Amino acid sequence: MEINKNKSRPVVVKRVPEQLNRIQARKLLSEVRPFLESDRPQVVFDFSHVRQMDTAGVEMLLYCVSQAMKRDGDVKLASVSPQAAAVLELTRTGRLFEMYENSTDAMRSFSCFLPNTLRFPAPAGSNNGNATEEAA
Amino acid sequence: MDVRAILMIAPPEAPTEERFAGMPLALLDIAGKSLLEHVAGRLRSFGIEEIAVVCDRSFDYSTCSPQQAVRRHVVEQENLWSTCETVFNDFAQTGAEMVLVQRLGAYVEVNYDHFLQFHLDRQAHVSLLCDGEGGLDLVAICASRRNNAAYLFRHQLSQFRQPPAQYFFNGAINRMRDIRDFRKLTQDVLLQRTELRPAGEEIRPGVWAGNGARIERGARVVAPAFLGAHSRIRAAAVITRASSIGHHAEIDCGTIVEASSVLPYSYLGAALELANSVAGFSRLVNLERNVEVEIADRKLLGLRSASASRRALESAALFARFVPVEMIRSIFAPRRQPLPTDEPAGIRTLPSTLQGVAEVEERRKERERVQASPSAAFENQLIVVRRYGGDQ
Repeated sequence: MEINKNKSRPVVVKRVPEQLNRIQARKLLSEVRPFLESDRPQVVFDFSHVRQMDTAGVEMLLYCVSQAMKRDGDVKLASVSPQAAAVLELTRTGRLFEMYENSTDAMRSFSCFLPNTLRFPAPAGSNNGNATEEAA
Repeated sequence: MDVRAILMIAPPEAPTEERFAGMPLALLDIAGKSLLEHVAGRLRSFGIEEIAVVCDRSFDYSTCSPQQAVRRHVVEQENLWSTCETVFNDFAQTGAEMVLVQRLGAYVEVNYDHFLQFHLDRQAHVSLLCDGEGGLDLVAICASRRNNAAYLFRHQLSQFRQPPAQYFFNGAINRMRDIRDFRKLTQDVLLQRTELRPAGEEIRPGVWAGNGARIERGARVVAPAFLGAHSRIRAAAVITRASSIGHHAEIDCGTIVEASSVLPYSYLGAALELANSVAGFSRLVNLERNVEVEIADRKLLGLRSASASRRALESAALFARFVPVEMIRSIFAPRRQPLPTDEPAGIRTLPSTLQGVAEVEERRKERERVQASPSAAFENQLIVVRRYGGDQ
């Protein structure tokens, strides 16, 4: 776990294990809970290693975000693997989180808006998500 | 050099082209401002201060964004082009040297300085901005060339008296032909892919809010998102994936707005899910299914009044109707059936594996409750005391 203290409030980056099942989710939650209970918590979950994820993992994420919101904080996701992204889309929870290409961008996003690093699904019918067309 | 501009709102004759619910797309709210205002702002940023807007009287401006610091000429549809000619002549008589005429229409991120310089370098009477598909309805005309201008206006910018100098543009373009293009441009503004910026304060990185926008406790706004002035996001609502909420719009409890635009003065009912859509004026366009639906049920999608006093009256009437109905219901409603006392054993008793855990948990909770408040031990005999705002 890394803690970035460059800004006034720390951003906690937690790497999520390869399998996010009930046991791992509980373990992860116990590690993160002290930070979530602080004032305006800022937590980033690094999903780069996640290969398997079940409902316990999703519930853990929802619990974390609800706790963070209660204290005016936020939880963001970074380097979301395709497997994790599929589960998040399936459970329709992906929309509740800002997702970034890597944890550095996610950390920086707490202090400034980084539109180019945001993982943003393109709407149906658009050309690669680029709304404006570039003339030849 | 005295350069002035005429912006025209003249959608084609076809009822669906460049319009939504009868309104030109150029007048709809894109992250806090209409395209008209965005373009007027860009012109001003290039030092073109004198801007005239020519548009049709039939468009309802009360639902448009109110901040428009431009000279406006509202005319009947049939006089639109002749009004443009009159405005052009006015500009010429009052000392303008060059007039830019732009029909909205397409949003073109052109550098006006470069375009005007091209026009001067070519010593052309009329210059036209083009891309690979043809003209982009932006013309520069020397103010002294009144005949060229008159010919152009009489042919609705489609024919020229003399061949114009063509300035080929290869920058960002959104043709704004339909509501899909409108939504794309909104998304582009929020993702900062264009020069246009949302008209509001950045309350969090990637979340902009206009004056008086209210986010109730428990609502979640995920960046990038825009909340218009005096909009209201009620509890447990979620605004996500480059969604834009127009000014004075209201999103009721538990509703999810995902990759969508909600137009000004709209009311979106409780516990709905709006995804990849544009909603407003009691109409909904789903961009994924490519379908437009008119919604008459005000509980789903309503249109709030543009007048503040009328909105207050409506709220008061709603409240006045709600209270007596609830009182009558509580008096005359049938008594609730008592719950069965003989619950199945499976419900009353925990599985043996969890019994130990449950007892420990129960004891811990009881201890915490007594420690937190000594009066908690007597809570059955006391009135309920509720703490406000002490959760944080």
